[in-house]
Amino acid sequence: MNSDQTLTPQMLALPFFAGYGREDLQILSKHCRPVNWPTEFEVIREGQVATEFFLILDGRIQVQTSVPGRGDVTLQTLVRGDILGWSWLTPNASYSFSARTILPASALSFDGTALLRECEQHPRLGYLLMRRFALVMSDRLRHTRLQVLDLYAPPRTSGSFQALRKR
Amino acid sequence: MIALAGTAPDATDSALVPSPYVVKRFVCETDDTFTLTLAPSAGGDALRFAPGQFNMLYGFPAGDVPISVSGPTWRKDVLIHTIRAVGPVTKTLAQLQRGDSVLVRGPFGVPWPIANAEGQDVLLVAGGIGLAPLRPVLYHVLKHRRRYRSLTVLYGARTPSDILFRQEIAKWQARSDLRFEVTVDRSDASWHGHVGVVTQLLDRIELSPLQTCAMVCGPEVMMHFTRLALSKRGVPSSQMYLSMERNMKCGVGSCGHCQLGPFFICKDGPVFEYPRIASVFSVKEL
Repeated sequence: MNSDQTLTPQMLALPFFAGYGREDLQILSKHCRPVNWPTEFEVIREGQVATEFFLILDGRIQVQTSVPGRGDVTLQTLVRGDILGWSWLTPNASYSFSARTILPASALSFDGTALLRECEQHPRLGYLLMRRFALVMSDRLRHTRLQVLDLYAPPRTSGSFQALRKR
Repeated sequence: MIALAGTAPDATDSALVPSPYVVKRFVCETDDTFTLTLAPSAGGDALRFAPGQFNMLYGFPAGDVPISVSGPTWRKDVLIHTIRAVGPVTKTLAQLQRGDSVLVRGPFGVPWPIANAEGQDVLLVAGGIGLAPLRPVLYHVLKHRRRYRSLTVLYGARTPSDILFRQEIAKWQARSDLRFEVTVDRSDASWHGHVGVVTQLLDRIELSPLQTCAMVCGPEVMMHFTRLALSKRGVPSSQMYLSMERNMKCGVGSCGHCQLGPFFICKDGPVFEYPRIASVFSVKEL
């Protein structure tokens, strides 16, 4: 499979593919395949061996974790252009979170294990890929920090006004 | 009376002397936020305002509090205010019933730059209760839709149950001439919408940065990160407008309660073109 077959111009227009040379794209293309998922499909499961990552092309995917007493809690929503999964970058890794579709979705699935081998052989590709994932990770970290800040939390003095109205 | 961005309307009698109003409608928006529809007790027209301006509402006997107008400018008969019950005055206002009286003084402050934004893409970014002061802009742009290019609203709430104006948002989301995206920081099982902070939505929308007029309202830290995200997308800082909050009391720049560096928020703001306040924005000591 080559880049002309797998990676359409619409896909190549996504920011994820910016900056790669033709040879890099051919290698990436060799290790990716298009996938389609129905609604409520479990794409990855927390604890599962992590060998793949996904570039979302369409649909909506929830990144979740299971919290005792609260069920599956959604931490983040991913849409077109987003990357799902970076655990494959580390040795003997497993996914830290689960991911489930809430709308029918399509993606490019990349074989992370094979790509890591290619990166050893092609340091330029490896450098570009690591930079791309560093950007993904820094964006996620920034957004997570803002979520932790709880920006819209009510002041300590506030409470339900409806209780006041019932007095 | 519509003021240009950067200039507050002159203080008039209505700004200095409270007028009696009566509660026509009380709507519970969320667990801690409600909307009051107020009509002049004597009948006739309500105070005229521009989007982004606020009034001082008196909650007896607790005192008065500045509240942005959240209704449309063309409703001449009433004033609509959306209020979060967080302090003694707002909790007093939260106990009002239909037919109760409330005193209103205003309008105050520099409004959103709706005239300057004509011919441009309009981007409204709201966080939490910050959607209320931006709602009059949305009404205005929708009423005069041809004067503006694209219209995008990005709204972040804490949880699904904290989302304001739910029914209206559903109608806005069904329109083809407006993109309205909602995200929550924390979800529950019932929520199938977007989860994540509002700046994340900003990273994902299509923008013509040089033709975008961005109006941002929410907690200061949210506006700080939104401004950074807008800059990253190439929106010039001169096309970013923020609505600042401070402890406003007199509304006419006399008491000094709302001073922020060289500015009185009640008179010089609350809406500022970002470069005007860049030197004092997010300064810890201020």
